[in-house]
Amino acid sequence: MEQQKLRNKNPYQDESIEDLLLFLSYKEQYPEEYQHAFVEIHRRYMGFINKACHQICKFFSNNEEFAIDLAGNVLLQACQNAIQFEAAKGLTKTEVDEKFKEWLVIIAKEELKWFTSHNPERKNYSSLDSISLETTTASDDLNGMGMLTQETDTYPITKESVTQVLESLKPRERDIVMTYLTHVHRKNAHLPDEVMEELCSKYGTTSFNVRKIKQRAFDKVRKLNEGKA
Amino acid sequence: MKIVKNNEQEQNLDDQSFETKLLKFLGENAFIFPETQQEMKNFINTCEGTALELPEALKDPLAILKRGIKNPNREIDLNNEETKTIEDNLAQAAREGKEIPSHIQKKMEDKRKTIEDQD
Repeated sequence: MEQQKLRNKNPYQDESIEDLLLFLSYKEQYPEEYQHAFVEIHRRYMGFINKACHQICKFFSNNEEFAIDLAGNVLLQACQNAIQFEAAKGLTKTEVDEKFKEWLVIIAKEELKWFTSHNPERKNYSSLDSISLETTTASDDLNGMGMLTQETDTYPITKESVTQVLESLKPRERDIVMTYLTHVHRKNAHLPDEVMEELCSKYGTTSFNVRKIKQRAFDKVRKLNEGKA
Repeated sequence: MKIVKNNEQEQNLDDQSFETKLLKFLGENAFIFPETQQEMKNFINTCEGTALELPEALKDPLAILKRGIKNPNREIDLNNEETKTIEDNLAQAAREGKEIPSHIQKKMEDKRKTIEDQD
C-alpha cells in the first residue's frame, strides 16, 4: 500500500534538485523522506544513468547485465552520497541539472573502476585495486608534446575503426582492453604496476601478453586508419 | 567528422604517442569516461542523444533500493584528485554534521502532513 502510494504520486515531484539532495542527506533521521526523494531522483535521472552506463559498458562482454548492475549502483551511490554534491551558487535550474548529470557520470566512472577491479562475482572482470588517475588531461599532454594544433579533428582515427576493432576482439581480449582503458593514466598511457599485476592474475596471463593484446588492438586501429588493414 | 590523413606525421608517432592520441580520441568520443569539461559535455550529449528504453530491472526504484549496492564493502571516493578536475565549479556541500535547515524540515513536515491527510 505504502509502496503503491510512492509509485503513484510522489509528494516530492516538484522539488528542486538541491532540496531533493537535502532530503537525501538526512536519511537516518528521515527515512521516509529519503525514500520519497530517492523515488523522485529515480524518476528524473534513471534514464540518463542507464544511457551513460550502457554507453560505457557496450564494449565489455555481457554488457547488458553489466550496465544494469552499474546503473543501479550509480543511483544508490548518488543518493547515499547526496551530501557531497552542491552546485556553485547562482546557477540556473538547467545548469544545476547539467552539473548533477556530470556528478552522476563521475560516480559511474568510479563504479566502473570498482566493477572492473573488485567484483568477485563477475568472473569476466579483473581484480584490480582502485587507483587514482593523474589530474592533467590527455590534451594537456599532447599539447605539451606539440602534437596538437587547432585542427584537433584532423588526425586519422575514426569511430568506425575503433568500433570495428573492439567488436572484432574475443570476449576475453575485449575485457582486457576495456579494463585497461578504464584504468590507464591518460596523461602518459601508463597502467600502474599493481594494476597490471592484478590484471595478469585475474586472467591467468603475463604482463607481456596483456600488453600484446592491447597493442595488437591499438595497432589494428592504427592500420585501419592508415588504410593498410 | 572531418578526416584528413597525414601519413607522414602518423608514421613518425611511436606506439606510446599513438596510444596517447587514441586515448584522447576515445575520451572525446565517449568510448571511455570523460576527463575534461569538453569531453564531459560530449559524453552527456552522446548519452542524451541515444534512444534507449529503461530495462525492467531498473524501472522500479524501490526494488533498486531494496537490492542495495553491489559490492557494498567499500565507500566511494568522490573527492579524489581526478574527480576534482571536473568538479572545479562544484562546491563541497557543507551539510555534513550540521542540523537540517529549518526550511527543509518544514517542507518535510508539510509533506508528511499532506500524505497523512490523503490517507
